[in-house]
Amino acid sequence: MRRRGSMAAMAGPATIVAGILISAIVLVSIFAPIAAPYDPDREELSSSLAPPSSAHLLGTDRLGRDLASRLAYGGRTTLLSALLVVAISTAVGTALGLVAGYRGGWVDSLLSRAFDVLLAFPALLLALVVAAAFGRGIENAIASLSVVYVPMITRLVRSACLVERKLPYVEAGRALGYSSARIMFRHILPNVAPLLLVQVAIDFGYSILDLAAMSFLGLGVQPPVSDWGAMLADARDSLLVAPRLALAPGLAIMIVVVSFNLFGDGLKESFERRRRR
Amino acid sequence: MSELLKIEGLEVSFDDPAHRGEGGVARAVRGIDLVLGSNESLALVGESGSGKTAAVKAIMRLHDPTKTRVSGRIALEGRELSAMSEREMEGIRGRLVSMVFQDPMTSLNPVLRVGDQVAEAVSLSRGLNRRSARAVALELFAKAGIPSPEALFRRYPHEFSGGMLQRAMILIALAASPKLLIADEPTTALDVTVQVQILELIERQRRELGTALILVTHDMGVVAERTERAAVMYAGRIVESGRTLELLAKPLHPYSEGLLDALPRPGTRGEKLKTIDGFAPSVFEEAPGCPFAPRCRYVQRPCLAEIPALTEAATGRRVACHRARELDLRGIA
Repeated sequence: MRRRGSMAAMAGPATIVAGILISAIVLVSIFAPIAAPYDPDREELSSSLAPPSSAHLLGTDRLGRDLASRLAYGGRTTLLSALLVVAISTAVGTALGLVAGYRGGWVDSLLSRAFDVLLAFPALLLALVVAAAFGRGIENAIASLSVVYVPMITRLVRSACLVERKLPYVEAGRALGYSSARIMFRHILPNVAPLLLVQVAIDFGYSILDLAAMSFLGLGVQPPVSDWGAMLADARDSLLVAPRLALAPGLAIMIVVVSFNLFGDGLKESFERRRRR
Repeated sequence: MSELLKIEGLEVSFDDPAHRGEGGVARAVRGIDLVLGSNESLALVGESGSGKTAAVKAIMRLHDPTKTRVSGRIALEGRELSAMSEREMEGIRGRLVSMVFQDPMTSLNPVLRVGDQVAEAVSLSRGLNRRSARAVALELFAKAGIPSPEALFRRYPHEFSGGMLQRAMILIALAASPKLLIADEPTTALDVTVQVQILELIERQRRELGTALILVTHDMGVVAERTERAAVMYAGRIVESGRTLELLAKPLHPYSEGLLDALPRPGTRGEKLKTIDGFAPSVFEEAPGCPFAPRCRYVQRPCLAEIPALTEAATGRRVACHRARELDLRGIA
């Protein structure tokens, strides 16, 4: 019998805490216009570098902008960019992985070798090269990270697909005249989905980290738009005077990345436990 | 009765690098001829490894072309299957020929609802939208004797019993009213008690739709006796064929006799079950004589020299045995 809610019951407390943190941060980002007390770009030079107070919860930055508001809006940019990276790389990676795993033969060899080469480079380095070639800007940062994240997803889906395609339900589908596309996307994909979901959660964390790094280096978002990485870069100028300007986005990044990692691990564990039963 | 399926000289061999020392090629099917009329039912009987499954999978062209060599002619309604493109084959599979597999627990997709899987087959074969396909599928559920169809329709395969799943699988296979249904040991993985129900469901559905049947089985008794004709396979060849009841009553090949003799039957309580001594020959080698000779109790010198051809022994009866004319073999009443 299928038990509803067993997922939550089986997940450890760390997973639940991670899930709550992720939801809270996502909610604040979505509702930033309501949640943020100020316009994040409104400069008020008279209160430059104001310490935390009742008016400014986290104080203000060098230009007198409200840090809490900037954090909420920055989170919006960061999370949305990461979502795009994960969505694009997962869609492309899954399709390629299914084709490589199901068709096999030269298609598989070609894709696998090409991705072996891509995987040989550190992800961030590769993204930097791509972004440097196509110019700075958040769109290019997202595009280049999407490319960089494809091989891992493809590899994962391919190996899972190799296992699935030997199972009798795939042969039964073929015996019914189902097309390859139908078998791959309608029948194999749902069986691979749990594994994929875990990878997506973990990738989400990493792409936030990578996006922040790119913005920090000036290859990501361009002013006046800001994200957590850009905020970190801005904070460098006043690091000794107001370390909170760097700590706030830094902690935000850390919490989100760690939460996504924990959440991914928790998912994986509960899927495995479920499979073993 | 018009001719639906005609197989001539079918051979199937698998590349098996693990057995390179023995030639590296497993010859599973070594030349079989078979004709099946529309509406006809045929039992393909033989022990594990005799090539039954390899032969029927060749009819559907399900073998992996990179590891398997299939030769010979297979014509369905007069159209040669080996000449077809993979896309054309997709149109043949499920619509003209369909297949039910041995283990229903793994032949359905574990993560999709059983009802949706039946509806999918219905919608594809009849060009119906999702809603009407579901309605049709639900009707089929009820007709196949699945209890409380509405509730089970929304359940997943692991929540079904083997027998119920096999019913669903049969519905899926027959959704497009194919001309030929291949059932590959459809009851082997099931309890003996549901065996008969499954066979009856296949028989009832097939009569209703006018579908011919190839029933692959190793069970000479309960399973095979429900078909009109039977062909006995041994080591990749058909060694005997004929009307099922005649074959069961009076087998012409010593191997068929051995299979029948090995069946447990009432009145033999306390006796040891009979077996055929020895092993089937290796799929990698080819001995010069009759493949069954080493295990045959009637073996004589000519049997070791030449492979017997499948020849007509009586009206509608064919046998591949050098001594078929002189032997008087025992069947089951």
